Amino acid sequence: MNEQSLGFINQLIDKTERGKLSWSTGFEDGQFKTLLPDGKLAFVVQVKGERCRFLMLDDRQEVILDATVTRDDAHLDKVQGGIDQENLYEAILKLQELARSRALRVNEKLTKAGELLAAI
Amino acid sequence: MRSYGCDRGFLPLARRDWRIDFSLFLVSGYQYVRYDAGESVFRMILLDIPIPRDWFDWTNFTIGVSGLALTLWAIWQATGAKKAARRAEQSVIRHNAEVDFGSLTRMAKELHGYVEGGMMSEARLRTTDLRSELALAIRLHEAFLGDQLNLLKEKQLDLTLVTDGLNRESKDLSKSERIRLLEITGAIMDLLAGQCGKLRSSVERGASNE
Repeated sequence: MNEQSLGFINQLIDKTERGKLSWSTGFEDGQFKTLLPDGKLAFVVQVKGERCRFLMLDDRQEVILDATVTRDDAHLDKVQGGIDQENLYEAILKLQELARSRALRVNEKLTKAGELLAAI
Repeated sequence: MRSYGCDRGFLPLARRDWRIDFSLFLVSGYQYVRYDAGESVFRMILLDIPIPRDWFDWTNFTIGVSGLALTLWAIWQATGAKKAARRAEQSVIRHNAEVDFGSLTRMAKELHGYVEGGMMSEARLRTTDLRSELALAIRLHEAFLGDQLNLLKEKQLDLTLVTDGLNRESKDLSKSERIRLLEITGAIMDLLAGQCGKLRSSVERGASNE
C-alpha cells in the first residue's frame, strides 16, 4: 500500500512541478486537494502537526488509498533499518509544500510583495 | 435518254439531289419515331394505368388519391406525436432534477445556518445527508449538469473532507477551519441554488415552447 502511495505521490510531485496540476485548499488546516479532469480521481494531501496524510478518492468519493504516517513512525522505521515510512513521510511533506505553493500562489504573491515594497 | 424510272415517279440518278433524299429520310423517320416513342413515354408516365374514362374509373382514382393523402397525413401526425412525447419526457426529467436540486439547496441553506450558529453536531449530521443526496443527484441528473458537473464534483469532495474533519474533531476546529467551513457551505449553497435556477428556467422555457 505504501509503495503504491509513494508511486502516486512521486507522479503528483512531477506533474505539479511541471504545472500540469492545479491545487486548492481543503477543509482542515494544511490540507490541499486536486481533481483530475472530469472528476474521475481526486487526491488530498495534508500535513497537520506531526501527522502526514495522503488520500486518493474515486469519482464516487470513495477512499481508494489512505496513507497516514507520523514523524515518530518515520523515525522508528529509520532506526529499525527500514526506509518505507521515511520515504513516504518525506514525499508527502514535499508534495504538501508544492501543493500549498500552487494553491496559495505563493510565488506570485512573493513577487508582488517585493514589487510593492520596492515601490514604497 | 434513259429515264431511270422517271416515268414511274423516280428522278433520274444523275438529277437526284442528296439534300432532298436526306430530308425525305428525316421526315419519314420522324413520323415513325414520333408515333412509337410517344406512345411508350405516355405509358411510362402513367405507369400503365389507363386514363379514367367513365365514372367508375374516376371514383377509383379519387379513392386511391384520397387514401394516399390520408396515409401521408397520418405519418406526419405520428411523427409530430412522437416528437411531442419525447419533449414531454424530457420536461418531466428536467422537472424532477429541478425538484431534487431545490431540496438540495434547502439542505445546504440549513447546513450553512448551523455552521453560522456554531451548531457543529447538527452541521455534522446535515453534511452527511447533503453529501449522500448530492452524490445521488449527480448520478441521476448528470446529463443536465453540463459544465457545472466538475464544480459539483469538487463540492462533493469538499463535503467528503468536511464530513471527515467534523467526524474526527468537530469540537476542536481552529479559527481558520471555521472560516473555511463557512466559505465551503456558502459556496455549495450558491452553486446548488444557481443550478436549481438554471433547471427551473429550462423547464419553464420547455413548457412555453410546447
